[in-house]
Amino acid sequence: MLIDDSIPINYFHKIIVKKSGIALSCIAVNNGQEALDYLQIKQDAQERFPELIFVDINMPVINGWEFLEKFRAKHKSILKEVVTVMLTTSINPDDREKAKKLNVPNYLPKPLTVQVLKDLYDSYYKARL
Amino acid sequence: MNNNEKNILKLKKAEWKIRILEDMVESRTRNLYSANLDLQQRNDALQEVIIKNTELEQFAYVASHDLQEPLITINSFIDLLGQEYKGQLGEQGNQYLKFIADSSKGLSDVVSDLLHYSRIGTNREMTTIDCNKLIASIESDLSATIAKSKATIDVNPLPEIKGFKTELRLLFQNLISNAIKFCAEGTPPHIIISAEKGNNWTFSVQDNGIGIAREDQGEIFTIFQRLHSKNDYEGTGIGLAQCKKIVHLHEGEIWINSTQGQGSTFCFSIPA
Repeated sequence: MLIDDSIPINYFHKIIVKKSGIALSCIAVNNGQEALDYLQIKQDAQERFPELIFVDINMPVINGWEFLEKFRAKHKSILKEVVTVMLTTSINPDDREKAKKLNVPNYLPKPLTVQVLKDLYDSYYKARL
Repeated sequence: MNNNEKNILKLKKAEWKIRILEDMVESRTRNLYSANLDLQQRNDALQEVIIKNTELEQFAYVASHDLQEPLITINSFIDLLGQEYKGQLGEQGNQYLKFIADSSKGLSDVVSDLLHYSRIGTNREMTTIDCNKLIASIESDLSATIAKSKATIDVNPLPEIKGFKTELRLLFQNLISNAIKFCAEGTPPHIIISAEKGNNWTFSVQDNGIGIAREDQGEIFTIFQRLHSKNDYEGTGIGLAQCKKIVHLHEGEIWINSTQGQGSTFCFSIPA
């Protein structure tokens, strides 16, 4: 799942995800609230949850940190299955500190690359097969 | 004079003294009052400068931060265009794309440097730093560049100082990188780093590179000022401006001793 308020960046990332071949499907939304609504629907319908979520930190209305907080609160049961990655336009040392404190191990600069996706896949999903 | 007259004279003298003292008090009060007004005005002016300065710093930070996202978009799609439409653009089309790509990269570099520059000094935590360890760490980071240029770096014993670690690291790293970058053709860079104690610690980074002509020495610490074309030496021209900002952050001074063609020594002072 891609969460970013920039349409072109989501478009680009969708292409990169497709090129990496690691995902069966990819959904892109433009704000944190849309993302939470989508995830709630999936949970209620007991349908397959996105297992990898990329969240842009700087978004209007609900920013990446707020999304993470609400997501962790609402979907505790599924947290183990989902890997969240925070994305940022610049490596801000304050954000990095925040990521450490909130126990977010994955904090990456934009844009995503095929290599980064493959590395994430190897780290988290290869073992599950 | 009889006693009465003596007393009257004493009284009169006392009255004069009181009047003189009163005049003095009045005059001093007036002086204090106008000095106070002066101080208030200066304080108001200072407050204004502080506000304007904070605004400028925030502006630089926000501008460069918000410029980054569109640039990431542009660069990403330039890459895709190049990859996916390579054969279909023709020679002219490829040239157009190359110019766009190079220009966009140049813009990204400037914005990124501006962002880093505006962030200098925002982290207000001072620590004690062992400069020897700092240099060793920088050498490790620059190991590829050092190996490629066959540079040698002699580090004389350096002190422990109080400062902002990230900024001091950037300061030394910029000076060392420059010394390697601006080396004379055919001569491997040789850099000597040392420190001298006086009222302050005076650090020097000496190189055997191309040097800087006297008439150019004034502008080199200005933001985005470059002395050479991009084809000869890469970079946006922000390195020394960053160094100056960092040295001033530590309440020191930075200067250069150099002759064109005969190497440069960059010196800066940090209060002990």
